[in-house]
Amino acid sequence: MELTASSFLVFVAIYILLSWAYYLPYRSGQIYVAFVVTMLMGAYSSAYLARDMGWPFPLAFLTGVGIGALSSYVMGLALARLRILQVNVATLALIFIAQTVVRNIDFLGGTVGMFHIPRVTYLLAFAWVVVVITGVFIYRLEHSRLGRALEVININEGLASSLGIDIRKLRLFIQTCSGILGAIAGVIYSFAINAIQPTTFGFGLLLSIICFVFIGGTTSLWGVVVFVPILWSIGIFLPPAIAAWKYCIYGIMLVAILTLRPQGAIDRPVLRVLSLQSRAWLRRLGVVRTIKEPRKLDK
Amino acid sequence: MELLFAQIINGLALGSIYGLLILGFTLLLLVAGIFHFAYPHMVVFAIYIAWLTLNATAGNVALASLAAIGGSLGMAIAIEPIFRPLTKRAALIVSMVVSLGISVVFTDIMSRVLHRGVPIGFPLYFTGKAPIITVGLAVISRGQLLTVVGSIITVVIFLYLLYRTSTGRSLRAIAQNSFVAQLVGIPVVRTSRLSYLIAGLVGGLTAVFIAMFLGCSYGTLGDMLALKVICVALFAGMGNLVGGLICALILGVVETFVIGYLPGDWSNAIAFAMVMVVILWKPDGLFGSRV
Repeated sequence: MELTASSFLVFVAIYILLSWAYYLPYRSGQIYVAFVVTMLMGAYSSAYLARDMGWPFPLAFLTGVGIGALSSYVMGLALARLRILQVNVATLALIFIAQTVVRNIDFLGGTVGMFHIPRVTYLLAFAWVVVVITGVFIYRLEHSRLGRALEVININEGLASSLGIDIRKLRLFIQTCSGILGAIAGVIYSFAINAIQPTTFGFGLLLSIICFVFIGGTTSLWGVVVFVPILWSIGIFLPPAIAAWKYCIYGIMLVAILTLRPQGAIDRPVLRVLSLQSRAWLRRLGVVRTIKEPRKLDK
Repeated sequence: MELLFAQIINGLALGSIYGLLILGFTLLLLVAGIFHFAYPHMVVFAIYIAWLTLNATAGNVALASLAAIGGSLGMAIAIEPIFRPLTKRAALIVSMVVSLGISVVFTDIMSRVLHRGVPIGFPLYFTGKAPIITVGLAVISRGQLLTVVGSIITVVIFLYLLYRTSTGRSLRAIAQNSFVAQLVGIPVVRTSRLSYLIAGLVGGLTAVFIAMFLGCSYGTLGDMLALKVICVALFAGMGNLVGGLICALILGVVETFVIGYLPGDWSNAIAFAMVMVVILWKPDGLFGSRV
């Protein structure tokens, strides 16, 4: 598949957003994949509004994201209180139902899909601004009270409840965030590739995202940022004979990483080492002040 | 009227295939403690093995069936080491993701390499699509009858094993509480390996029945079956064996009626719609969850 550098970067941005959409509910103890459904909704609604009704891109974007947010909130009202296996299967089923519904709606293109979605010249800058804003949001979320609550839920749900954390409300919030991220990614995707089909928003995409998140690291948001370009390039830059086996390679890597290193490549100790090393390096270069000697106490 | 009767038999045959798949899946879920998403993929792979053997031996039905059963057993034994550390940790969710990875490997191999991705078909003398009983407009084929009868026999034998032998008692004990079973002296690891063997055996039989009932197979059949089986499991309640069998029959019948009376590919979506309704109303499944 031939790609220009700007297309590559736009797709990396899309996949980072989708991986964060999987990562956030996983941090709250649920495997929630309905962001693919909101991606489908966002992509189709914004494409329809921009192509058939002539709306400008910002308006189509906001409407697509709004639809995604609303639907993930409504779905979350039912899904937030379920256990992890049930949420996983229910959202998988939702992906399938959504694909079937879209395939049977004719004004959305049916099985063939929608073509000739208008181009947006500033899409690359827009996509990466969104990624940076989302990254800052997730970082601030993790280093706040909500982030600490998420940690406790992962350790022991009973303990979290006894500490006064409203698990259901927090999960509803996280699921809505995940849905919003999915919808944003869907809108950017439809304007990046200018043609969408129902088969894209299915299990191939889901497997790629799961692979990115688990290999990148499930305990830190930086994992996917580093590994999405690396792993996604497997399907792009390797010779076509090997690249056709992309999903097989993803599957094998997934099994390998979960057996050998379940927390993924980039986890807390790795980040800590990296930050200490970089601080020592900056100190040596003189960019950062050296540590002062501790004061000696008088006897 | 006879058409309705024929549809019901068709639905029961489909439902009994789902039932056998649920049987193996629940056994692995309860005893080995893993969520084996790739179990139907192994079954479909066994169908491909049967087809290859059929071609290689120029139409020996018995040998092809044995090859399917043996292949399924072999795959179960080969995959068991991957899940062993997960069984020890009782990591259900991780096993779900690991088996998702394995299922993708299977699907890729089946839809790319085997028969160059083209769906395979079984000849008439194997499938038993030849009609046996004709009642007016309704036709019941040998394949459907064999599937229903064979599945009933398999389930009866399995339940006998589970409830009347000491091995079955160990399996049930581990299913209830594996830690206490270990305290009582049941060899948990050895028995969970046995459960892999049983699941592989039942899977091989299921492969033969699917070949007889459907008469064809394609690369992504494993994905389809896996999703439906998991939906049935959730519908009935995770880990509920008898409930799962009943719900598998229900799903088979409902799906056949939907294929007959609704247009398009809504038949696949029916299983998922049923699951969604149940999840909203009774999150633990119709018959209650045992996991």
